Amino acid sequence: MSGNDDDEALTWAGGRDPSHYETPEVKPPKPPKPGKAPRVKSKSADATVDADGTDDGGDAEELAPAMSGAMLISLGILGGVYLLYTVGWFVSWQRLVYVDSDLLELTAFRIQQVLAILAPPLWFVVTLLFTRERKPAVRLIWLLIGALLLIPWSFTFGR
Amino acid sequence: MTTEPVSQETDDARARYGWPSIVVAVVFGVLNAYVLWNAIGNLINLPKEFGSVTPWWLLILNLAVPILTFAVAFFLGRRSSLGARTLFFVIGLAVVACSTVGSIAYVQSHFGLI
Repeated sequence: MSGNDDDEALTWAGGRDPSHYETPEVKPPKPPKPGKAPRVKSKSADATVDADGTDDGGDAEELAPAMSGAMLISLGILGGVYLLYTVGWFVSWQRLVYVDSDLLELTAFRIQQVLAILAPPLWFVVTLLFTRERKPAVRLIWLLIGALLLIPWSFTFGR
Repeated sequence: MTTEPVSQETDDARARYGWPSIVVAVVFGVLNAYVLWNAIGNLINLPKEFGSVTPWWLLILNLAVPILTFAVAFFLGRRSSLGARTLFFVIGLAVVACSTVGSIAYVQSHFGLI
């Protein structure tokens, strides 16, 4: 008797699925904001300036996430580029055959092959760490310099 | 007024560049010098093998890369902590490594040598 009651109670809870209705309601507001943040939020910020003129705190709160949103997209793209570079250097490490009778030169080359794989992730992480207090433009410039310097040329040459 | 703070800053910077930092700079200097030494050797020896098709731009670039990366890493780390200085030198060496591997791949794919 009591077991049937428990089963009924469980099916009632599972049939309703209140948690499944709640989560979609929370999720939709999140994705559109980072994607279209710069356009929408700049308009709303202008509107608040025109209406109030003195609402400085509100504008600062509106602008700060808009900057970080654009920055996050840029960092995501650059992170993908750096990840591809790492894969490129790794493939090159597997493909490139280098023969040298001099053991020191051969060892040096092997170490440099491994260093080349580590170069993109190192540059990306260290740049982000050491430019935390700099302007977003400075961070992007340093990441762009790295993206130019660390192109896996050996991969593009088919090696 | 203007000279005193400047002299103090330079003194601090010099004081902060202590023995550990000098050791790190020397170690990475030697590593970069090794790559530079190889680049000099290539600049002298490879033109004899390549003749008229010598990739001079590549030989000169390989000469410049270890010098420039060491200089930039040293410059960036001059007011940083020991760990940051070491990291900059490591990244500099990693850039040199990318240049070396890329250069050898270029020569292999274009000339089929080495």
